Amino acid sequence: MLFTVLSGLITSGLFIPFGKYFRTKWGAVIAILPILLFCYLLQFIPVISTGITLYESYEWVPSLHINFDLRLDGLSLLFSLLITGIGSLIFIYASSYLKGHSYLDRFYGYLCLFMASMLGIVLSDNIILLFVFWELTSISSFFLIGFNNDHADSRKSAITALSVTGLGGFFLLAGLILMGSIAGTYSIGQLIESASIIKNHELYPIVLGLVFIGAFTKSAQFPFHFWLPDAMKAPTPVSAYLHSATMVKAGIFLLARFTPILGGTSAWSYTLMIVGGFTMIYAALHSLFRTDLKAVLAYSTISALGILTFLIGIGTQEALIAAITFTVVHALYKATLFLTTGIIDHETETRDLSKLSGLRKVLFPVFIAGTLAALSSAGMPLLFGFISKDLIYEATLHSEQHLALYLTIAAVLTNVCLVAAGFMAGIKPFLGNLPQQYEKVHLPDQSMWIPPLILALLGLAFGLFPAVAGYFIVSPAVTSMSAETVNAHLQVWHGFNTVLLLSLVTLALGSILFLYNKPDSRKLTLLVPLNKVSPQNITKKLFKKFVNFSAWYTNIMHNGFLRSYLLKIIIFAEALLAYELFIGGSIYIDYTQLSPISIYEAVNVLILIAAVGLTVTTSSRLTAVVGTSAIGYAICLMFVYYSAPDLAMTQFTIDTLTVVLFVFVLFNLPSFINQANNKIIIRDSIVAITFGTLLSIIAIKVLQVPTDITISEFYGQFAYTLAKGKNVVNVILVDFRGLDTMFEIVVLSIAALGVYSLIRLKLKSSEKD
Amino acid sequence: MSALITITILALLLLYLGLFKAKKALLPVALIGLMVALVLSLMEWDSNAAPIFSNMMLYDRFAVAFSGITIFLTILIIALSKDYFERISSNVAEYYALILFSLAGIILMVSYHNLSMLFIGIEIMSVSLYILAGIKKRDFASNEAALKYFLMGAFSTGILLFGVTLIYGASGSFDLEGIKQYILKDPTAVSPLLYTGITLLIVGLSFKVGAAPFHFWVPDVYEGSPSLISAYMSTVVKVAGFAAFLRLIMFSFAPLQDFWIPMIIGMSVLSLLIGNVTAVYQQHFKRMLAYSSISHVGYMLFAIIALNGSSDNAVFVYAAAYSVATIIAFGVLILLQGQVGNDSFDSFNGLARKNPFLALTLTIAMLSLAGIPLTAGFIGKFMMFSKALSSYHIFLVVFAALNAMIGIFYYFKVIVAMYFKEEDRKELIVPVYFKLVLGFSALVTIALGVYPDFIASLI
Repeated sequence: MLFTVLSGLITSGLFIPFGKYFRTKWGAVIAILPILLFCYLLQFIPVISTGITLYESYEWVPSLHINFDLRLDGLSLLFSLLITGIGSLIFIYASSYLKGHSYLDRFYGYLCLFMASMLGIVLSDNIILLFVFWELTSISSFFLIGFNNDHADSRKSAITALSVTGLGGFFLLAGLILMGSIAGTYSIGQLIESASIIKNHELYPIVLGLVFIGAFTKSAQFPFHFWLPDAMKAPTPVSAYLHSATMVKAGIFLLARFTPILGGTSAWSYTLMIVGGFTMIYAALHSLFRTDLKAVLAYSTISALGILTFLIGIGTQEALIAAITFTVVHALYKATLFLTTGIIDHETETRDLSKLSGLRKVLFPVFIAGTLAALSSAGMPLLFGFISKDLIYEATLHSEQHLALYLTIAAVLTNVCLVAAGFMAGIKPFLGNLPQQYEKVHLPDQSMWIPPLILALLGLAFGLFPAVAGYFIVSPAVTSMSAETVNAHLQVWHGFNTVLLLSLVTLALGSILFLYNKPDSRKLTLLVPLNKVSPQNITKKLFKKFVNFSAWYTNIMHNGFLRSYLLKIIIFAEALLAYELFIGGSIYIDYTQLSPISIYEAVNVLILIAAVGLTVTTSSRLTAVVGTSAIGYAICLMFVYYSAPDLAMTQFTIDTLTVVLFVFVLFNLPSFINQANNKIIIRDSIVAITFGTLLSIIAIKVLQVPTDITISEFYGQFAYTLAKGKNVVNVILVDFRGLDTMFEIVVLSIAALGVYSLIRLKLKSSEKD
Repeated sequence: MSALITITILALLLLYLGLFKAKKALLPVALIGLMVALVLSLMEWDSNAAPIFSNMMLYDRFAVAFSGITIFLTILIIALSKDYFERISSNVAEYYALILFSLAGIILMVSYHNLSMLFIGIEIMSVSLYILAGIKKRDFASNEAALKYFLMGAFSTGILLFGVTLIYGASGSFDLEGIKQYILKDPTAVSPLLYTGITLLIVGLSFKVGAAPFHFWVPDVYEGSPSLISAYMSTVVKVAGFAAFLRLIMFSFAPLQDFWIPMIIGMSVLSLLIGNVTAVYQQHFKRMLAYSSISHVGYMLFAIIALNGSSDNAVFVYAAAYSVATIIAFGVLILLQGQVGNDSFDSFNGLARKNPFLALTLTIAMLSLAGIPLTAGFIGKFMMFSKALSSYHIFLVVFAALNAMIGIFYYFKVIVAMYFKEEDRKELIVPVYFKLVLGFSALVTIALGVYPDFIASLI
């Protein structure tokens, strides 16, 4: 199994150096890879159908509990057969479809990467490993959507698709990690065992929500569906493979995989039924309004994904059987329709339904494939689609009593629309008279028209012998989703009952709808008023708002002015300090411990305040400088009063020096312009006063703390006895910490030398800058 | 320890080489010297390290890992400097020496065991950087960047020192172990001064790592400085700042979690939001990198919010992934600025056709920065997410997921330009040194993404 996953990854890596050899017709050779994988996987069918699950495990990142654990059960086998089977046909088809394209090698590289990642998703037994592959499918889809890169549209839709699925991806990652940390394991097998722990955990709703967002974005459920029609800008083989048959089903696979872990609760069922139900009806109705062939297919695909979500939501055994069967049915007929559309597009260079007609005369085998697929999608008896439609109705009818009626109505409504949409895509282009301009249209290479025909015939084969599919594929898949072994008896004839009646009514109503719903581009204008509230439009607007906000914010907050940065930072620092003081407890001042205030100190403080006032109000730089120096000297005096002459000396020197330096540069400064208006002055003064107040409060707090005086006591005690000095500070400087002082002097001397050499330095005129 | 000595001697040696006009030898000597330092530092890998130099420093696994990664990143950046400084001035020895001096400061910052060493380390690093930011003397942007960086840096250093003083006032110790013992004695009754001290210290260090709301200097300085220096600042310096931050909190302040966690959560949320909101709007690659680097700090703060024994490793992985990818981005940026003279997103148009190698490496870097699996960036994001979720900070992670999506949007702008937009352009000439560094970094990014096991439980 390891080989199954890695072979594609390695092949895509090898395209980087060796790609140039595959740009020619040899490109088709690469299809051998999916074909081999398909054959390899086929041989597991007998083993898996007995209900056995195969495991393989390789150590990968044991320290993070991420191991390369693989499991092959019914569910993964079903999906991996779809991936490799349809993949083989797509590889062959693309070699003709993109013949002569200059980046054919890149295309195959992305496609191999995609196939391998998809296989990785379905075979993983470790949810983080699953996620790794999950994201890789998004990336390869991004490159494939953008492959027709000459249009701005296709670039935009590539990045839309990636953003939506990427967002879902990160939510999914969060959900998976959370699930893992609740259960203590990332292994799917063990998670199933601890399902009840997870379901009863208080965080279960959050896990569920995160996983759902991941699944819904990937499987294009409302309101995240809008990326899928956009993604149809990709080359048609890509649309057929990624955006219809496989990648978009990854979300469905995820839901199916997690049914035994998270499923069965009412939160699970109702969310899925509501979201899936709404999506299927909404998209089915939408598909009727489209005239672009691929748009019809895109919306009917969304609708089909809605049906699958809806069925998994119902969650009964019948519903699960219906879901699995419908997955296969849909993959077969929708891929066929996409491929026939691709041929029509390739040969006639249009996909406009109102122009296409009569093509059966020139593209007969394509007509057969398209018709079979359309009939299968419509649920015509003897085709596989009929079986799945029966199963769906059976599931809705047998669901909970009070819901059965509504669910059935929803399902019928959706299916009626889908019948019409299917006919429109598969039959309409071939009916009627052949317009003159298409008379020269001819059948493309065999490698293009045989793949859709094979798929369509498979639909017929399974329709004739549904029991085979039921026993070998559907039953094991459903078994791996439920607790006990399930036997799905798929049969063509159920007898006359409500289900059959519903099927026939659906077919009839759908055909009538098809006949009366003529493709016409004017129909789309009917939807215009609704566009305002469509999720796509809302997202667009939100994003635009976000970018505007971002521009506004950047211009306001990052205006490049240092002073505005400092202001903001000080405000934040104030907020933090205020928070800290707030939770730091009460503040009190112990007046008994303070010395009385003398008249000198009072006068000094008054001078200080006057100097501050002068500094902030003056309009002359020189006065401001003088004012600050007055503040400095007033503080010096404070030190003197409290018998700290050394500090006073230092402060005095520094202050004088600063003033002198200031006066030096004063002449070189531009003239002083007062740009501040009253508002700014008030704002600044509030910020400044708050900052000062906060720091004062901190200073008062410092007073409350008993000081640790052991060090000063040590020096006081030994200054005289050990060093024979009476001035303690001097003794510390020259004796106790004499070495420090010496090195300080050395540093100062070196600095002085530097200054001296700078002064002496005579620059050459060329170096003066 | 020998790494620190080697780097300091190497810096002096380079100054002498400059003095004797041996310009050709500068780059090779610097690279070889740094490799020696790297090997020497890795040889000190020891789980039972004890503090040295009167408990001033502790060269434990944490210190070895972070000095290893910073030296490694410096090697990559210096290799990109081939012919870079020569365009600015003919006297280039000083530039190499300054980078190495700042690296010496950084080694101190990641291996301190005493707050005074932290301060000295930060200053040695910062003072060199103030000069380096302004080495383009005739370029106004470079001058402005240097001045802004200097003023903001001085401001933050003041705050930092204030914090250190208050902590000393409360605990009577500069020693990390001493402070820890003081707190452990009775965590409920520590002096209120300590809280103020921690707050100020956190503010000061947030300045250095560029966490919002103390990030204002980041975009202006990164944009104005010469690109090579910006690369150094946004990788090596950021990693070092974060290591210093983490070491302080892990060592000493862990028991007071309830106090500082709300603060860090606030900073993390703000960093994520501001980094992404401002990055989306940018039309130039360098500014985008500058703004988005703020958001990466937001992710890294997760490890501090959910502090436990493996936080250091999570930060290490994230920082390594982020830095290696950023170096690739800056490498391409330097080529583009030198040969096209413009770094708007449009100047990347059609790069994949003319320079497939550059486009591939840059794509790998962008994927890694966006956190896409099979690149190192994913492992980093995974570890951060799982850290935050292990202590059930769910809304933080949901918020981060939203931001990661925005990140995808602007990182992929570059990929779209390179691969999907066609334009006739000249092929960029890629010197051998650049090929080596970019190729090697891309390989490291992929290798860590594919096989992260040995780095995931390193420390």
